[in-house]
Amino acid sequence: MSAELARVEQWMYSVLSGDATISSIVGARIYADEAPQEAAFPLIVFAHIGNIDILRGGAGSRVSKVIYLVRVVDQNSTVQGTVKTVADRFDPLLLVGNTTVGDVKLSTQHDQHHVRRDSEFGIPTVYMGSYYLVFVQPA
Amino acid sequence: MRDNADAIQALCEVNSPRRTGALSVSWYRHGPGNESNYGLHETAARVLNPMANINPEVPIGAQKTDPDTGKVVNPKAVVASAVEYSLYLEEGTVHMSPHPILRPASLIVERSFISDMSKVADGF
Repeated sequence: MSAELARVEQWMYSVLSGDATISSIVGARIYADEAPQEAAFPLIVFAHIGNIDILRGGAGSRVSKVIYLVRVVDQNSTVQGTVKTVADRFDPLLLVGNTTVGDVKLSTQHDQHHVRRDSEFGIPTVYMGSYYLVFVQPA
Repeated sequence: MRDNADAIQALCEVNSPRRTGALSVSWYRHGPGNESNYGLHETAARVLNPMANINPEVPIGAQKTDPDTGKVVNPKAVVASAVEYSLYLEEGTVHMSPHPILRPASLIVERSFISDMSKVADGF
């Protein structure tokens, strides 16, 4: 199997989009890697940052250690309010142990909090979320 | 500590995209102890891309020293980039995918670091 990352992203999208609190704030605006230019705010972007594979002989002995950055992005906002509400949902939804998703098993760890204040074309833009480690292996 | 930090720095240099070359030369190591090659790499980046905003050196925080020998007993090291735009590549923006350099390098070096630290703990 060589497409674990696609399965992880599918799982991540379905978990985030299935949460009522998140949906009430960002609607369906959940994107992998980058948001389209016309997307409204707030929105969620999750992105693959890196991975390393541990391969040993035998069945089920391949583990991929993957890093994802998951964050909510808003403009003309602060880290308080809706941004914080959405970011607070990430840990309860994404921290799982030994969960089977299709034909893979995955476990996750919180790695590092993330916050960034930026501007895009002069518009204040705030990012908030976390880095997550995802351990994936064949089920 | 020093060897593994240098390995991360070297991987970052190799894996940096190049237009002016400033990003590639901007990676530096601060620590262990008072060691730092920030000045060298900050200057090289500034020469290659005078338009780049330069980050200040990342502090490494307090390190304990042995009162008898003066040697650092809990060494720390930071690997970072001296150019501000490295952040936008590493994390991406809302409309640009990340093109990470530092975290993949640290993932690769992590295992050798753990192995080296276990040797230290075992007294080698």
